[in-house]
Amino acid sequence: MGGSSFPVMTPDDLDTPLDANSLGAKGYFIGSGVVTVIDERTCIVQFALRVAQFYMHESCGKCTPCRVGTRWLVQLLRAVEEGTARERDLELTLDVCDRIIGKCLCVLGDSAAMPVASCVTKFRDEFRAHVEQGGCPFGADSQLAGLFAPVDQHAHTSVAQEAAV
Amino acid sequence: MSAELVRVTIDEREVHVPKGTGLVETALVAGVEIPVFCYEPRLGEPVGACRMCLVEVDGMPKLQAGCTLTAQDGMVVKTARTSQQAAEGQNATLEFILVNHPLDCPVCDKGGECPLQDLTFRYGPGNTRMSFEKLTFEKPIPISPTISLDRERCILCYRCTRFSESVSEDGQLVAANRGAMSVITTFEDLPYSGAFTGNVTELCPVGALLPTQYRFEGRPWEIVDVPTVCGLCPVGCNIYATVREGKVKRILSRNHPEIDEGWICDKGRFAYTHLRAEDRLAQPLQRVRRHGLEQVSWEQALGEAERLLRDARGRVVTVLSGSETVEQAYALAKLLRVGLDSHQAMLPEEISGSLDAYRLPLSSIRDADVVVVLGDVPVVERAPVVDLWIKSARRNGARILDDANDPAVGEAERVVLVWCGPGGRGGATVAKLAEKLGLAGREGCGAFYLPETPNGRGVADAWAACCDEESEPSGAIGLLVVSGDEAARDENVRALAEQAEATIVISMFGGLAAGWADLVLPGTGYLEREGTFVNLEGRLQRLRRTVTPPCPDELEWIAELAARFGVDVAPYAAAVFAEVSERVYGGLAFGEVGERAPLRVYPEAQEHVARQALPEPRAAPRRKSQVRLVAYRPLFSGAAVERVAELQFQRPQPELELSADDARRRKIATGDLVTVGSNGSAITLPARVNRHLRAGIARVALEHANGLGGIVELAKAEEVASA
Ligand code: SF4
Ligand code: SF4
Ligand code: SF4
Ligand code: FES
Repeated sequence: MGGSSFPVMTPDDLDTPLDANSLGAKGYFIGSGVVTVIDERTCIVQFALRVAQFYMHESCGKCTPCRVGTRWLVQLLRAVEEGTARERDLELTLDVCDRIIGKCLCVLGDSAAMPVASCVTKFRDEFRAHVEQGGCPFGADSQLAGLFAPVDQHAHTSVAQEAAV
Repeated sequence: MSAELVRVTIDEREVHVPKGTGLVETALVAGVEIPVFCYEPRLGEPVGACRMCLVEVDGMPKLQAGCTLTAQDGMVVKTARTSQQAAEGQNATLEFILVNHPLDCPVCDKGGECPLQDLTFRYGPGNTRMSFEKLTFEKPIPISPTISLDRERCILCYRCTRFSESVSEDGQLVAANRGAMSVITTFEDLPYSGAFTGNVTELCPVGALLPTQYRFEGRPWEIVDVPTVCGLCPVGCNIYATVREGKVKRILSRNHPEIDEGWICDKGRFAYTHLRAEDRLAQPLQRVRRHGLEQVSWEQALGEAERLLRDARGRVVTVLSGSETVEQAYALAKLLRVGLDSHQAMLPEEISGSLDAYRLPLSSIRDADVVVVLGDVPVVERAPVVDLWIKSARRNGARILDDANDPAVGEAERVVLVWCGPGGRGGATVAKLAEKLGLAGREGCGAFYLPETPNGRGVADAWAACCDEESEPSGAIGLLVVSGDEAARDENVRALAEQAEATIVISMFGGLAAGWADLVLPGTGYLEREGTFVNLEGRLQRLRRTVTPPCPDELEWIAELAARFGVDVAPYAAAVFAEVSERVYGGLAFGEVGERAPLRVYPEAQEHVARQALPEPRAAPRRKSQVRLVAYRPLFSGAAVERVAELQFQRPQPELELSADDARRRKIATGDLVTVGSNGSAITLPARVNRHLRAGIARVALEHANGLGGIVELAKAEEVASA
């Protein structure tokens, strides 16, 4: 809700009125007003990874938590998706988000960490399934499989991204 | 003084500081550390990049970067000592910094004096949770022959780039790429060059930017940092010499806020290896055949010196370099003037006491409204740090002018005059100008004369203080005593030696004396001496013997030689200084000169000491095709620099600087070949148009001038060829 930089909502929140105050009362944001709908055929880890990749690419690199933290999040989420993560990496992911939020020079770091943290918290079972099964339960069937974060389509950055992660 | 005091509470301690004081400094007043990496007030506004300084501030929802805040009344701040949240925030920053940091401590030159190690120990996580591959880079990359860059260790605090952008203003160090791939690099990958590059090795809070000369040379527990003063130019920056096992391994700044603010130039920082140059002398040399010098014992050398001095029968002429300490110059003067009645000397500089009424600390340039820079030699080449003060004045809004008649000078409140170049008559010219402008006694107003030698003033003081007698120039020179390397490499001095019956040279380097001296006595360097120097402000400063020289101190053998002529010279700097001080420095004791010497006034100082009759070269060019060529001694030149391989890339390009006006009239563009000449000799060099140069002036480094100077014809090279 509000674009890619805010926490995700679940079906439980469907009745929330679409205004800043009502959303704010529940810890959400109206943001840009954009609503992105993701159904159960989509792997939420893939979604979180793409959000994180996007913000890693967007980070200007000036302050430490955002420059380093966004890259670390990408590494962690990729490990979850690929099935090489362990249970404690989920805690670590949340902790890294926590260590970014509110500590950066601008709000870009928050924008990366808030959605990622909300995915891990609200879809814990789906994340855990990745860890336990040693890979993605959706695989190529996920709506996002084969769809990459916009940054990975930028020819000029793909090399840097490869090197960076 | 009148700044309003505000009350700030830091970790439950209340302090009162002037409003607007930085929070980091305020905390220090309360005895509390706010750890920082990127914060460095000398680099301008804080950037808040590293997030090491996170603190909790009452009334603010999130942690704040303490370095970006200033003291406000009633502010209540909690640091990691009393706030769990702040402690967590700082721990987080360090965890992030260390995520990609290499495990290099055992092989990193910064190890043991590394803020990252220290702060990690105090505030950081005990172990790592990072299990992925770290970012790696090719390393270390030499960004110049003197500095290497390790991008893996870089924590991107941007201190180095901010220095380059807003202190030295060279713009050569920049950040490239974005986000996780951000790196520090040099503009267009060119070597980082300029007068001040080495300062970034001290600013860098980690082992990312390191001096190549110090690579693997020492560990903090094996070294001592000895406080002394740089003796390579008249600024007299306060420095530490890092010494290990009797050798100087590194030079660091020692921040004298009135002189250098902690910045030193690359000559002062990197030229120290000249102490171990291949042709460094430890033993005296005596002429045996027509051109052959042979090593002899000190006993024999002093015997020979005594003989030469006696044989000269008072017809001794002394040439001084201006790099002698006050004490050495005085001891030499006493031997020669009192002992041998030989008063003739070529002093290194003309100096003028009339400047004393306009003395100011260098730091006051920063606060000036108008700085008038006269004299046509680039300030950076002669007194580098003065150039930094002028730059900071400009950043503070001052106008930098090259004409004292500019109406802005009359309107300004704080006016500072700087003379850098020929024709200054040791400061008399600029003092007269200051008088005309009515600067005497006005707050923040004053005048500086930038001499060519590090201690020309002190040497002149000492030489004059020794005795009042004078002798008529006797025509024939019985013995020429050449003191110091600068005098020894001077062509005019060598020409004078041709006329002398005999020549004694005191020099550190065999290469300088070979072929023309009859006796060579090894000299010491400024890092090896006890003594005092007087800098361009007129400030007396203390040099220390940071390492033992390979030969006896000058004072030691001068004293012995003096005794043979019935003159009493003490072999210790303190005792010699006491004698000079009685006469010139108001009886100040050696021990009182001070580690960070204040600017004192010495009413007993000389009125005016002329070097020799100097021509007044300020006549305007006569014809349109003519310009006045200023051949200046570049910063990166001289006996010491010539012996440091790493500094050779800094030597000036062969090029001729032209004013925009002269270039336009002759249709010359930067890069075009131009020819300047007079009296049949000419040089052809690529031109560089400099819009800061006055019309009618052309400029070239002395080593490319081929002896030319003064009024010359200037033309584009092909015109000369076709004519
Ligand atoms: S910069 Fe400091 S922490 Fe990093 S490797 Fe060097 S000594 Fe260790
Ligand atoms: S090289 Fe050093 S000074 Fe420059 S940004 Fe990196 S850590 Fe900071
Ligand atoms: S500016 Fe002068 S005194 Fe200062 S370090 Fe350089 S040479 Fe030495
Ligand atoms: S010291 Fe405050 S952000 Fe770096």
